[in-house]
Amino acid sequence: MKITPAELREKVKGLYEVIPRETEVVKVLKEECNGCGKCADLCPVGVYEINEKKAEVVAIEFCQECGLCYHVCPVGAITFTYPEGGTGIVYKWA
Amino acid sequence: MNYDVIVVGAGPAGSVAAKLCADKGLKTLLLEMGREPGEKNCSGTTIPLFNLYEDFPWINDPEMPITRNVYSNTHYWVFPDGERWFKTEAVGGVVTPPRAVNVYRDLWDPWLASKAMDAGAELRKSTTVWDVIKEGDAVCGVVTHTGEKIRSGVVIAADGLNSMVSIKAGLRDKRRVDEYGVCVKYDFESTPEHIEVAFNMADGQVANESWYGGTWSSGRTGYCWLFPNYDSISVGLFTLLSDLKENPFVLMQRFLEHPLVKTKLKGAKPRYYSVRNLNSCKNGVDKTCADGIMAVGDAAGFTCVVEGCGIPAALWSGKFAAETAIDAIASGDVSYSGLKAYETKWKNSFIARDMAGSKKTSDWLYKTVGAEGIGLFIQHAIEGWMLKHGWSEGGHDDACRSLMEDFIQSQLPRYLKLYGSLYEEGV
Repeated sequence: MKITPAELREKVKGLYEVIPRETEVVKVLKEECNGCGKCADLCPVGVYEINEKKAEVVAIEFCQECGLCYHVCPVGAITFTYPEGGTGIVYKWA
Repeated sequence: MNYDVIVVGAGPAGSVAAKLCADKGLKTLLLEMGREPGEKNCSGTTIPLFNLYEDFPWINDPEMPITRNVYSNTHYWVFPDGERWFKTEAVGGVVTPPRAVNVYRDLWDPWLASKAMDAGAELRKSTTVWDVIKEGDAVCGVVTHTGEKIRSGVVIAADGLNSMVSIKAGLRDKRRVDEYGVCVKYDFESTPEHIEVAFNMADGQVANESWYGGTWSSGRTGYCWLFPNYDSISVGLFTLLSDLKENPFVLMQRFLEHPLVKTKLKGAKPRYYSVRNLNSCKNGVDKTCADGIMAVGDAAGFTCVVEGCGIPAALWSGKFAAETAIDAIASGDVSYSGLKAYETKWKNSFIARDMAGSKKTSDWLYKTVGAEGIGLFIQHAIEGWMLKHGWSEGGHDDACRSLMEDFIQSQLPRYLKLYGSLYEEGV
């Protein structure tokens, strides 16, 4: 079974809440990205897609701030930071 | 100076550290980036109670918000074909207090933080720490997301596995990919009646379940869990990032399709989906303290992969950091030489033995559930937990001792039998 980021977003939509953030919690450094696609393949909420052989953050509003992309990127092309206080992913029944 | 101690993060480690510092009269500030403690935390979620009430009598509170008392953990081993499986029954029976409790972290963490506030700590919510204030090499405060600078004698970093404070303070670099694991988790809404049957309720307590192997594991042992709450079931999957080929969401869907898992979740509906991270303990930890700073819990990289749980290490490392901060501030030396007692404390505790045992355990998590995977599990269980690391009388060691006693008496013979049959089959 293979799933595209867009299909994945459809599956998890409405199953958690993200309070809108000003901070870019994850960011792709385009000049560093080698287009390997690991972030797009593995992000469990479908934040990334590959466009013109570069990773792109296409759905930041889905990001749960887990840091998987930041750690899995083999060339260090993704940055990660916590969001400003009172925003971002919040969990219920967790 | 604004405060004696600033604790960054009101999770289990941070709230314990803040409560114990405030108990001794230190002016203590506890910073939390969520609107409430716990709303950004997500785990299995099980709190082991071994020795907890002895070392933290104030946690033994009838007001503690729990969702189920837990008497045991049942292990399922599913073969790579996904069809054949083997179960080791829950053993040990019901004890009081229970061996563990399941909780919702968005209720449990605020309750724990309230203990710190009752002791006199100041809690400031919706506040993220993005940087530290340094004088020379010494940390002497924090910078919040609004740019506000707050100074203190000691900073305790309790801001989780992606801790920005411990990186900014120079305690560690970005974690390596093989040190990093990811958990995806559903909360399935169910009914108490279904849960009590599906999870073998006895005397008001239920059995948690761990699932190894199967077609969901991307070719590795890995593990999944089913932890019952009062009227919901926590369904999780843990996998390591190294060599991960498939999206963890896809692996989770395969787990949900297993016929037996389907019966456990009969009539239940997913109402929440969450993603969080776990340290694999593959390479141990970097520095945990320096001039003016200590890191605790996940921020320090403390986890027990054997139990799949970071909460005991979080609670006790928070306690060790608070004790160290109290002594260091009393003696007027908050430099590394005043704080290095913290390192000694955790290195002499169950935390260091958990880390060593976990390093070995992470090896078998990479294997399939066939003969090699189970063989390594047995070898590492015996070598890693019993012979090499030794057991003291206190703390979380009792949890591992109890696990091993159960394992040796009832489960090991069955594992060995399975191991033998796998070799005969040439799996």
